[in-house]
Amino acid sequence: YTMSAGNWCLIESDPGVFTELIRSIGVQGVQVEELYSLDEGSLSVLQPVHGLIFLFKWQKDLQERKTAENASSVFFANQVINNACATQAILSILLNTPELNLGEELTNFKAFTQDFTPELRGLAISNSEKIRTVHNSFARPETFSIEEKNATDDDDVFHFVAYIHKDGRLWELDGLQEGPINLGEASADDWLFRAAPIIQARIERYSSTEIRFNLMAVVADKTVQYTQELAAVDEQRAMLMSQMQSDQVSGDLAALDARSSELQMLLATEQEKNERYRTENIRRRHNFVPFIVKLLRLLAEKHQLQPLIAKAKETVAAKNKANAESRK
Amino acid sequence: LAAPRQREQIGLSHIITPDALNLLLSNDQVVEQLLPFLPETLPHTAAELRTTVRSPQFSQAVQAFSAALGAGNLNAVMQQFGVDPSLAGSAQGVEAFLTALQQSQNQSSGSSDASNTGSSNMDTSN
Repeated sequence: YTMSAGNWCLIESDPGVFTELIRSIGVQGVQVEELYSLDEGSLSVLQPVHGLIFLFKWQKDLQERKTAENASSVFFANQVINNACATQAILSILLNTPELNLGEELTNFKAFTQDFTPELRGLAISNSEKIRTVHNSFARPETFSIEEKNATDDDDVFHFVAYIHKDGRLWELDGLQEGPINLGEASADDWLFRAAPIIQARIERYSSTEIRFNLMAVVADKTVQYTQELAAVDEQRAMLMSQMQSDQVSGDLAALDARSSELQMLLATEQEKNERYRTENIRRRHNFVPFIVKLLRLLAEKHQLQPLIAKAKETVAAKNKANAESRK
Repeated sequence: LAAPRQREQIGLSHIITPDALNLLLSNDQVVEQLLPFLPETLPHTAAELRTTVRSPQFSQAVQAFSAALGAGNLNAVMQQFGVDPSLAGSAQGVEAFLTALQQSQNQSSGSSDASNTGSSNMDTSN
């Protein structure tokens, strides 16, 4: 049957977009980081990691895999709307992380969908007004209607899979499968390092076939995390200072000093990053069409447009000629 | 049926190139005229303008607008920006829009000043 759950726009797969999306839904203490490497060092820095999101270009030959039968404690939803799948992967992670402050919207949503089947949960996500509104707030603004280009050819279809840890197991949550896939035993401490080789194998498979992919981690809000640690370190320093004298104490103090300045640097980096996210998201939502038209008018006024058009036509003609010849 | 033609057309990214932008933005008057078109909540400075035009978000907007012009939104856009469609001649898509902009510039610089279409939407003060 066809879905009529309203329009979901395609959103950009970007840590700044995902982070703001999560916060706008009302979840606190979480941010999204892009991962460029799966080595132990890169993963450790990010701890605590609530879940990983693996994004890749969808392939037709999706095979059905064996899904777990007894996984009622895992929140799993089927993917019923393509464009919403990034948001769905993020929600799957958030709703499977009990220690998070989900906020009113998601707390209610979780309770409401508690006894739903995966398919109904998928429908509930696509019908949620709040979630859809936040998701769609990242749409590119258009001042005139552009024929909505549906992702019909495979080029445009992306698929997200989430990896989480719950109840002593590592799970793969793929909305196109029937249920969660049990990837074996894992603890809170080691699940990331167990997931890494599995994802790495996938990356290698896709790299060789030139399938585009990227990897995101849903992690604790670093600003909150570093601020709390900095407060604790400063408190410890103050205590040590008051009992100065012994060599032992001055050694500890030096270590605390080092950690304190390191944390301050990390905090500054987070601040810069959040500022950059904010600016990028403002740009994403801005209607640049009047800007572009003004720019073109200024080019015309400065007598640069005509030569640029001529040059562009030459470039395109040369390309078309080369293409025609290569087909002969 | 003939095989689908895979002929490439000119796009706005052929026109709004880094070189063209650098040259244009080296002119302070040009910068002044573009600042009001930046997002309201960002600082309206020359530095911000330069960062913005180099941003992936701006490139995406250029590509989307270019695609829209190529996909039959030409007349709607011309109407919205007060460009006479007959100035485009026989050109199609992006090229038609550019040609019409160029022609309307030629006309307004040919006639006496006063009616500079280029700055007509710049005079809205708060």
